[in-house]
Amino acid sequence: MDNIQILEIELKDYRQYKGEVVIPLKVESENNINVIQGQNGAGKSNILNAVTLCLYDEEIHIDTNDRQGLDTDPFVNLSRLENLDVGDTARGHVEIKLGREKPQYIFKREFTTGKLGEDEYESDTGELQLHQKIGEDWIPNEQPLTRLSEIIPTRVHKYFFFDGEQLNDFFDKGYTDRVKSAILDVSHIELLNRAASHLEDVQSDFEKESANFEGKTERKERSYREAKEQLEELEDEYSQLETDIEDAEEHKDEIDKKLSDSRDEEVRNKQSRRQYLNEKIDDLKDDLVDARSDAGEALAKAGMVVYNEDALNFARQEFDEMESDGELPPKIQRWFVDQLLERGECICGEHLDGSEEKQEQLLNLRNEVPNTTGETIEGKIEVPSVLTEGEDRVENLIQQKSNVEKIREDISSKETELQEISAFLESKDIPDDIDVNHLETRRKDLESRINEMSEEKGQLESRITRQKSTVNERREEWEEEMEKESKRKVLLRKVEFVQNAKSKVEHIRTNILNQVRQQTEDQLEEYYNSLIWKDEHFDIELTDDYQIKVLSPSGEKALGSLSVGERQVLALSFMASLSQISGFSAPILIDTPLGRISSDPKKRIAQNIPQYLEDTQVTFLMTDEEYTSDVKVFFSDHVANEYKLNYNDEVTEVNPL
Amino acid sequence: MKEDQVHSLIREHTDDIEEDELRSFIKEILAHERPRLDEPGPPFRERYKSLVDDHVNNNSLSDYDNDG
Repeated sequence: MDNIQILEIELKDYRQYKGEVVIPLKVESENNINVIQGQNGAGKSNILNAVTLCLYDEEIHIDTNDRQGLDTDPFVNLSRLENLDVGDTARGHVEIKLGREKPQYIFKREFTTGKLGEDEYESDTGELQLHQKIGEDWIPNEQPLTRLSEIIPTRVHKYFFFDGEQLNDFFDKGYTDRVKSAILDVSHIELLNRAASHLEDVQSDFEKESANFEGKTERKERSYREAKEQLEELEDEYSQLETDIEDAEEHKDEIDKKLSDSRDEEVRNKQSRRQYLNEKIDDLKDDLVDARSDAGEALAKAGMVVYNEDALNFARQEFDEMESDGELPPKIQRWFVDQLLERGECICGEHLDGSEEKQEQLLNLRNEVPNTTGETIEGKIEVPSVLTEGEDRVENLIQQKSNVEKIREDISSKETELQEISAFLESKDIPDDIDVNHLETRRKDLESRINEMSEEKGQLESRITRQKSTVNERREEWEEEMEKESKRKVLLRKVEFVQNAKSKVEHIRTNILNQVRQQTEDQLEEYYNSLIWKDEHFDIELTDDYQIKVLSPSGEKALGSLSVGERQVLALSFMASLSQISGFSAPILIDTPLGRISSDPKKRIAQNIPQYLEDTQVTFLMTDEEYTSDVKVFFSDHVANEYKLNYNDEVTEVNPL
Repeated sequence: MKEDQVHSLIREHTDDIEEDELRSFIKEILAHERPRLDEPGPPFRERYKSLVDDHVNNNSLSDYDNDG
């Protein structure tokens, strides 16, 4: 047997099984069927319950005929409980050995029932325990649920361990939802649903984030380019002005040269004098810059005293008053007295030797000494000196300002003289010589134009400086936007990637659903036709909306028109299909598989059952009505173990048939 | 099959994805989700975003620019 099987079930005081009851169930590939036969109430369904209680902590079979219901009965065998006193507890367990040929896992769950009062009990279950065979040793496994979930997880166990009687309800009203849910269970569609949903959330996160970086790049770049173009225009304008000034200067120099070469001595002298004056004015302008700088510095130094003169005079007056009151300079410092007291010395240098009188005198002296700080003494010396120094600084300031004025006047007088020279030359008309007056007029125009252009150049320089700053700011703004845009591109790429992944997952989901539906349909048809007792072949269709249609050669049979037996066979086939598709190769345990099937079809089903789920251990819990002599004949070559449950006096014994 | 393994049908379909990064990414998120399938509202954002970073950064942005 390649698949995992239940090798043995051990019941200890579980419900009607008193003491320790062991049921060996090992099968072989060719004999893959176990039959446990028992009348209703003998404890058949409780074997199914024992398995699901042990592994999943739940009892799958609910006895609808029981007035109180099985779940209200105590777990521990009633005859054990009879001897208990109120407040006492009894315990039992279910143990299941799983493996292929030999036991590999022993799952065990203990349970307790406490007696609360007369016929009043409370049951509880313990944690699942597991021992695993490693080599020759049985080692406790700390994670039994993890190991169990590798064999038959909780989610799909209902397709392996189930009650055949209850399957009759499977195809009642609303069955399409149950079929859909079962198919989703076994095909992991929920895994894909969850991945797609999470991808959508992550995509949405990236989209929101990318909106924060939405671009103004183009606008900022345009703005930067415009500013740069304006700067280039200003620089061109500046450059043109420089050229024009140079041309004008050159032209003026030519005129000066002509005037210097005049045959008229007076003209030459005036021209010479003008050149001298111009040179002097240039020098004086340099001197004026220096003198202004010196005056500014002198103002800064003098201003400090001038602006605080009232406060300084007030302070000097206060110090004078302190001096006249004898507080300054102090005869003795308070800190000095403090040190004497600390050292225990008198002011004359002798030790106080604990003399309270001397100590008191020193304390009195300390209180009499005014608390004069070092700053006060320093202030008394410094303030008059600052005031005196301030006066010197003011005098220096006046001197510097006077220098500035003197240079200005000097420049002004030289400029006046230049104007006079120009006026003289303009009025000069010398026959047979150069056209002095015309040249001078021209020179004057040039000089005026040069001055205008120089002023314009200065203004342009300021505009260029401001424009450069604007260009830099706009370039930085553009670069910031480019950086944001770059981040946005990465985010958009992430959005696109996640979106692609989501589409793929959804595509896979659709394909798998179709594939699983198709596989279920194929398996269902195969199992149904192998189990059903009729000769004709039935087509089974599982529609997109999870309806199951049974199509006979004579036409479609509505599920409602199927006999009880046909419906049970359909349900058995469906469960077998799901257990196959789930991907888990685990044993199957079915309670009352043929309970609702009448005698003739039962024989036919029994004939076909050995082919049902080959290479899988199948254990049937059957009533006497199900496991008839006819059925036994068909099963005989394939049954590995047969047991009969004998129920007597609230206790069931398990005996080989 | 182990409980923490992805169903063979899903594995077959994810293996068929041609784009390497997409295939690897989807396998990783399914492996992340598989053991948490029975948990209601398991955390995922941090892991998903980290995986996106790993896979998107494997492709050069210039490829994306050229595509775009």
